[in-house]
Amino acid sequence: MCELCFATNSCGLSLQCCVFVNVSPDVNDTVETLSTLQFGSSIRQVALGKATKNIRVEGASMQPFLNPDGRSDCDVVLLNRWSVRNYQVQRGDIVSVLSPKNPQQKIIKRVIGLEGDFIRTLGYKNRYVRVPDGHFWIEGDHHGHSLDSNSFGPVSVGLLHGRASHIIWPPNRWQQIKPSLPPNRGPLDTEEED
Amino acid sequence: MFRSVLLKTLGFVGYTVQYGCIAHCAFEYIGEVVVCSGPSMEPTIVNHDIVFSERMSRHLCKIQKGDIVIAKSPFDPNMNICKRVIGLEGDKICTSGPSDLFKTHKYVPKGHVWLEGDNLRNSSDSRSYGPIPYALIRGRVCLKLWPPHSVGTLSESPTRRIIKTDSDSD
Repeated sequence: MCELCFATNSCGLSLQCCVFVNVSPDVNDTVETLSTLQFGSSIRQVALGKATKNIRVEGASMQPFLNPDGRSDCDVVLLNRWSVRNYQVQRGDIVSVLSPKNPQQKIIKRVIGLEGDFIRTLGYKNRYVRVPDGHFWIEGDHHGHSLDSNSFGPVSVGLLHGRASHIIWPPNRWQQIKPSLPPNRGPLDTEEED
Repeated sequence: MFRSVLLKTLGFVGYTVQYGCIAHCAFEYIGEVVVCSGPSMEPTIVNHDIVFSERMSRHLCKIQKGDIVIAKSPFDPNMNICKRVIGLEGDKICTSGPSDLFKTHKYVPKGHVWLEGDNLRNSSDSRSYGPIPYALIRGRVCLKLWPPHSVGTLSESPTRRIIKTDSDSD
């Protein structure tokens, strides 16, 4: 199923506005290219991270609500590519981005800051960072288990690939993804800048 | 009468969709024709030259040192830049000018490329904004289509900025 989704993706159907992406946290390399979303059903918040062993451990530890019926945890989200054709995103959106470390890979993260924002970083080389023009700051919700801007710095907007708009599968968690920033994260002093 | 008009319209829409899909796939995976403007690649490409850029080598990760590529500008995604690849990931790049007494070097990080224009005096490139992610590359320029007297492949880098190493052979 994952391969099928991937094939659709690479067939050049970006003319259609939507692409399905499988985000199963598997050790398989192909799947890792699409990285993971772990949907916490209890809090309706999306924990994002890199698809590695870490996440598998995490997945097991979150078993009661991540994997309720014991099936392989495999969430499918709808990526809207039409809405990002002008590279317009807002803070709190979940976006898929071509990884700056590996061009073959796409990562799914949450936008924390847009260009011009001041960000308090978590483990980056500078404590505070101003996001340069044409860049944004993306983070996974699962701090410490996520390869995000805290390790590679702000990301160029040109790498933007799509915006996750709906959770499609499993059906009992079918919902629209609303932009929401995690608590205590976000640009500093936005009120004063606006 | 009405029915035949409807059928014709449907047929026309169908053909439009078909050709749109074909054109989209061609532009996405085969290549596109680009008009270059700006002085940064002189003398290889001068202002208003028309070149053909192919996309396959970018999808297959076959971009090599010395290729001229078209990439999205890292600071404005709606703008494209045309530069020559000087270094791939892991390469050592000399970042100091030719007249500097002390040479400084820098390594290109993983997944990035180092781009420079052929016109070193008049080009804003990786020397000012650092290496750019490989995924920003859109295509490799392989043919020059206009002006007619210089149709054909593009010449080698005139700047001798590409550092050849033994590991290039593998």
